[in-house]
Amino acid sequence: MSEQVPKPEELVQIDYQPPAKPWMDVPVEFRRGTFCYAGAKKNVEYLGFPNPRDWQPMDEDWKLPPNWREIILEGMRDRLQKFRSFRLFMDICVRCGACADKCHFYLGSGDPKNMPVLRAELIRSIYRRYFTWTGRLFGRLAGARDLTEDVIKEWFYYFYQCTECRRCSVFCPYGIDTAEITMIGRELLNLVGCNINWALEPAANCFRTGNHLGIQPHGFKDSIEFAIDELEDLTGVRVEVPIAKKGAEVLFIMPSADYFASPHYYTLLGYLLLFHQIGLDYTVSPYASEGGNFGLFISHEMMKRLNDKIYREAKRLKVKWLLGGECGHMWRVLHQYMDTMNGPADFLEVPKSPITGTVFEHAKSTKMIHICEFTADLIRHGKIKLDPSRNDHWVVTYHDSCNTSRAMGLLEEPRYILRNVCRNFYEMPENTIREQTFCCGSGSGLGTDENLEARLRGGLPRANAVKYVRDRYGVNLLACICAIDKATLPTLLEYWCPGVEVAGVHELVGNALVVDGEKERTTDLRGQPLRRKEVTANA
Amino acid sequence: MASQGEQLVALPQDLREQLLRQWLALALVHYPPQTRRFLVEATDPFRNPAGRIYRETLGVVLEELLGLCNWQRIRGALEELIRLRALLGLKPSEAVGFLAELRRLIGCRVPLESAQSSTLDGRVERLLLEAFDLYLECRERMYQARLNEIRRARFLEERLARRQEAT
Repeated sequence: MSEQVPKPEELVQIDYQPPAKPWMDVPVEFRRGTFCYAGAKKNVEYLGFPNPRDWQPMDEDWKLPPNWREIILEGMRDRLQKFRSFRLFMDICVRCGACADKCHFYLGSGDPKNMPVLRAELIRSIYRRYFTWTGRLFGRLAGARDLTEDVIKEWFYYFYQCTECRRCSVFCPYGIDTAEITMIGRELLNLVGCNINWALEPAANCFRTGNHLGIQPHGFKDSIEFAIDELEDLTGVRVEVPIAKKGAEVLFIMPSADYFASPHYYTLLGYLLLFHQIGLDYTVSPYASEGGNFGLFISHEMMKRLNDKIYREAKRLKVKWLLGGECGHMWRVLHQYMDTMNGPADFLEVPKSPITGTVFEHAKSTKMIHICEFTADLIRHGKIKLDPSRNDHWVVTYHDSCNTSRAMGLLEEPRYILRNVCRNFYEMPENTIREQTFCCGSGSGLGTDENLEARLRGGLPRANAVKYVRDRYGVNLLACICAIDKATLPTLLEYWCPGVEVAGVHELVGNALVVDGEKERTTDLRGQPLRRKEVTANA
Repeated sequence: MASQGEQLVALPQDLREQLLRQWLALALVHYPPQTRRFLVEATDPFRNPAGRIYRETLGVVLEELLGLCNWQRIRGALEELIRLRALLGLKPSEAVGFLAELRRLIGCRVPLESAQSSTLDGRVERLLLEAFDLYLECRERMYQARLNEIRRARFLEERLARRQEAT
């Protein structure tokens, strides 16, 4: 009997060594905190997607349709024929490993299946098995494997642990865009009803009311009016915000978080002050009340359906051109897909600033420009008066959002604005900004709370660079131009790098902007007292 | 007898580095082999943030445990390390347990007198307890951050409701 009682030193023995198995044999473990909940039945039904049912990823039985394997393989066949890039990305990878250590999820978790090359292998192994003769003949020897329910579970876990940030693609010598592989993976999963609620619910809401939260027109109007009142309290100036004004020159479209969440809301205050000061003839719309597009994270058809309202509303309101607010993935859709999906917008004019006369030729096709392009142009032409000392309480760094930097190349304009509206600006290290920027770890529909542990792991490389400038220069504010960043970076920094807050670039513009008829500003747009400094650090 | 605040043992630089490498290897055994290699070999702190955290923090802790044992400095380093370990899906005992291995590592390579040995035992025990406290703090911080995020998403809704109540 006594021999069976372990000795004290045996009690504390821990088997450290992970099992040495080939990656195909390591099953995925759905541990709470690391995955997103399944799409709710009501949302799947509302959007008309296949296989609506009650299920969760930690269930043993995922209730897949009986012919799920045929559906997936047929879906792959269809996409291989339709998208040449997909076939190319399946065939061309030589597994050089250049992308391996570029993914923030891999860097934070150490899980090899988060290496972009291996994440792509999850689907490539199925492609080989069913669509190449080598895979059919040689199976595992050729890197092929059978499509089983465990593979579907693995796809779900890892394709919803990719934020489609495209950092890996910057380093791929063949230009393979792993985000597009993830997109196809998610589309295939969607065919058998395996989707996440945090992408589906906003999409369903957006389809119904025009925005992700499902805010109805009167709620939209209430939010805007609240902002008008608050701006009057803060500045003494009452701005006018036209809602659905027909014949306005510009339709301004922002992400919906700007009018319901913090710190986004202060960015909204910044926009409204700016438009008032320059006398822009613009309108906002409760129908096109969402620049963001969660359809991008589900399927290209869903993205097209949600994007449709933008040109449609521009046509209905008879505006001349479109101006867009601070958002990340919104700009991937607008900049790269909108024109071919729902265009041509030949009823609109090439955007031309009514204040400076600048014609934004680069937007000749989409007819839509980013507010940072618009504001940078105003500053460049000296059309607005700025008092950067009103931002002296902030020591600022700038986070390039993945989509605005890598998908549309918006690198200089936000920095130009920041250097003009604040006096303490410091860059993070070179290999963490601009095209090489690290993702917040929460994009592409993953910014929900049930998977926070995975998000915090994925956000480590970004937080690590912020910590560096916090410790070195005393940075206390991370500026960015993405709504998901504004929602999730405060959480990331609260965990990894306390003492650094998050703000939109146009919140800082609003602070610094000298508005005709304003009262003496004693606070910033958050209501925090200003602390002007006589001598400031080098910008 | 060396106690807290006094130098425990002066080790040659190369021996200290060997100890650090072995301790680091024990800390990384949960990672798959190819990741372990990357964490140890990639030296750019921004390309390999987790590797940086392991190297820097274990270095500080080892230096202090063998040296003057400044607990404030140890706690600062330990906090950054445990913040990472608390997110890796490890059991709490796995997240902090490797710290106790330091005693065995030093015992194998450094001849210590009995008094030194008992001081080291005391320091490592305290290190473990501090690490358990920090592990809990990190998990609580994560849940608090989760709550705060939900609140921020309802920011304007709450303010509108408050205004409506006031009027």
